[in-house]
Amino acid sequence: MRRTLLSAVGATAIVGMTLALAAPALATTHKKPKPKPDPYVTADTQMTTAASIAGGGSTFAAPLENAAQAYYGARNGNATLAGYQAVGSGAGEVGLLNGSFNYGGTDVPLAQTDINTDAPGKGYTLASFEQVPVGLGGIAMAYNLPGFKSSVHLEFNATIIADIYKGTIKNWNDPAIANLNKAILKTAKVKLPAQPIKYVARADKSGTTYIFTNFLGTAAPSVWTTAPSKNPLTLGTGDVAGSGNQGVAAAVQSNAYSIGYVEYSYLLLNPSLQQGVGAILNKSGKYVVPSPAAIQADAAAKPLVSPATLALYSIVFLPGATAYPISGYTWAVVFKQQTNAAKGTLLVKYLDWLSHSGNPHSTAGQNIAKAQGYVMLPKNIQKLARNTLLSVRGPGNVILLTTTAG
Amino acid sequence: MAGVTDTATQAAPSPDLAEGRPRRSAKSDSVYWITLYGVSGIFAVICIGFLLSVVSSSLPAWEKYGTSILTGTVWNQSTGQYGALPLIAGTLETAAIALTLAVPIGIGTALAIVFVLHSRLRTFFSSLVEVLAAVPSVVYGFWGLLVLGPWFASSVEPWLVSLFGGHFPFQDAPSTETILLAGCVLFVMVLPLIVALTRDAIATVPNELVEGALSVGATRWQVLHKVVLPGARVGIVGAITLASARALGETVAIALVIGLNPNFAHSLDSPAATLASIIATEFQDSTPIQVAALGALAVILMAMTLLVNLIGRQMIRRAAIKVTVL
Repeated sequence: MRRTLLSAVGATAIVGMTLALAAPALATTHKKPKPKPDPYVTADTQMTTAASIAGGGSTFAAPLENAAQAYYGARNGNATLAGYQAVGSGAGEVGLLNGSFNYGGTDVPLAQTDINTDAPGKGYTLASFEQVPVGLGGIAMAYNLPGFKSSVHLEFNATIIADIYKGTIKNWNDPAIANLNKAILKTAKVKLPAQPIKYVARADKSGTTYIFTNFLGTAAPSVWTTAPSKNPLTLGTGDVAGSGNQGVAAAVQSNAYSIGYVEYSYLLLNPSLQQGVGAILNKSGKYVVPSPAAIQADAAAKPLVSPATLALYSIVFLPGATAYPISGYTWAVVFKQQTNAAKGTLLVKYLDWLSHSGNPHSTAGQNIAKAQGYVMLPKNIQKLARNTLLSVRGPGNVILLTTTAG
Repeated sequence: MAGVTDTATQAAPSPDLAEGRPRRSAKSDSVYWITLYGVSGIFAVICIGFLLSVVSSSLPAWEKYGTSILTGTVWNQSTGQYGALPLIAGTLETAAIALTLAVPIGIGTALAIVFVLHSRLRTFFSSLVEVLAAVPSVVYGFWGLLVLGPWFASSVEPWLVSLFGGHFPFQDAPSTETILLAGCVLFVMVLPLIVALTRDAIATVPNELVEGALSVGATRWQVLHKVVLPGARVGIVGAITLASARALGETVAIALVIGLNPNFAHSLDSPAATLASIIATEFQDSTPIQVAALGALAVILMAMTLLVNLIGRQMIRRAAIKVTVL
């Protein structure tokens, strides 16, 4: 009995070892199709010398950065991408200024006041930095009204939303909302319920809140008089705040008669949120439902976007028949003058790859962004990113970016 | 806690002084003392350093806003108002709900485990309590959000609203995230703690007392009421103190289910906020003055927990003196 068992074990071991040694040989005999040449990832992005960079900042950009860094690093032998720490836009800027990060991710571009607060006495000005848009997102107004089908998109304008978030409009059947949606309600044969509106906001500091308040202040300046800010909004008695976009999404889904603002990608992640998505009035007088095309149309309406001032980097409420008015970029900030040639080269190559989309046969950062639920940067903005990165210099004032692809 | 007495001050007799053994050299003794003083010194430095650093991080806020932090009723980071009173109220309310439910049920369960249950059930229940006490609190929060919350919103709260006829304390439209839900999640969290500690406290009551009481004709209820509970009073007060400290400081579980609304809770079915949950959610990306304001919240929370501990110790001291013997 024992001998049979021992011999069985021995036989298995011998067979196993043989297979393990032969496996590579067996594999090559089966012809795998050669991978198509990937001009964007292989040729221009490869590093000749080893370098390592790390980034940190905006949580909105975190899913994109994590996926992009992993993808890029796996295909570039000499490049080490040491991670992206989602510590928030403000902390990202601080990290860049004190040298912990090679690039900072931020939803709100760096301003001189931030530089003065975070790096006093170092003499940096805005001209010491280059800021590149790397992500584009839109903010959906998701609501939870029992009995309303997902094909019904209630229409809102900025004034109504601002009034809701100030507590001026308290009930769903308020005349302002009812009058605006008369035709839609009649067609769908539903009535607005006589229930109080529970609005959901962010409990933590967020770039999403910044874009949202920027939209309200731009499109309804007489009602929303405060400057755009990342701080949590004021809540009324029954209103709820969620931590992170996921928190807001969960709160809207679980509370009947609620409305909240979430990053567009979270609509895709939470299909039950798609029960109620608002159509928002844009500058051309059209009510638009959020979609990648609509958000891109809005972004494309401002090809000369610049991080210098709010008026120049804001893309909310822009004209365009199909433009979705609540949209915004997320930015990567780097020093214009890089002190380390290898790190600087990797930095510009990575950010250039990140801000571009590949041709049909290749994958670049924006293709990964799309897979992660972001909206791809319009082509003109990708060009803008390329031109901005061309201004980044290394030691000896050398232009670091030599990519020509895309 | 059970058995907090002054016996720790008596040092155990050194084995070297036992009869017939030669005394070891004084050198090893001094190494012994130096090591003990050294490690207790490290402990003191860590504790005092920690307390001082938390307090000093909050100083800019105290300088700028003074006592308005303690008396202000509006907590709004965008307008720069840092009144923590609604948060203090929210912390106390959730802890009160949790303890009101957990103390009677916990003590009753402990009494049942020791006196009523069959020995096999007793072991099962004891193990169950130990397992539940070890579950991390974020799991309770997760369960509260996914299971208890929807059930409350769809069944329990509408029923309570109709029960009270739309009057206080259930006069608001039900939410999923409410102070009642947070209190109930906390209740489930502190219940195993109270049961475990009370059971240990009850077990220390000498069996002779119980049997003696029964032998002079006391009913079972009289034995529990007049012998066991008074005898275990010290341990029970300790259990409640520990449970309150846990309830006051609970962070992630509460943040998930309370709605993070820094206003006074209008009714039991409206969202609110606690000190710990606000510190945890609002910390990231804060400006220096915002960090200091959150540090002030931390100081307030520490003071509350310290106060609860001091009250508990005072009650233990008085309870230890009054031991009722039948």
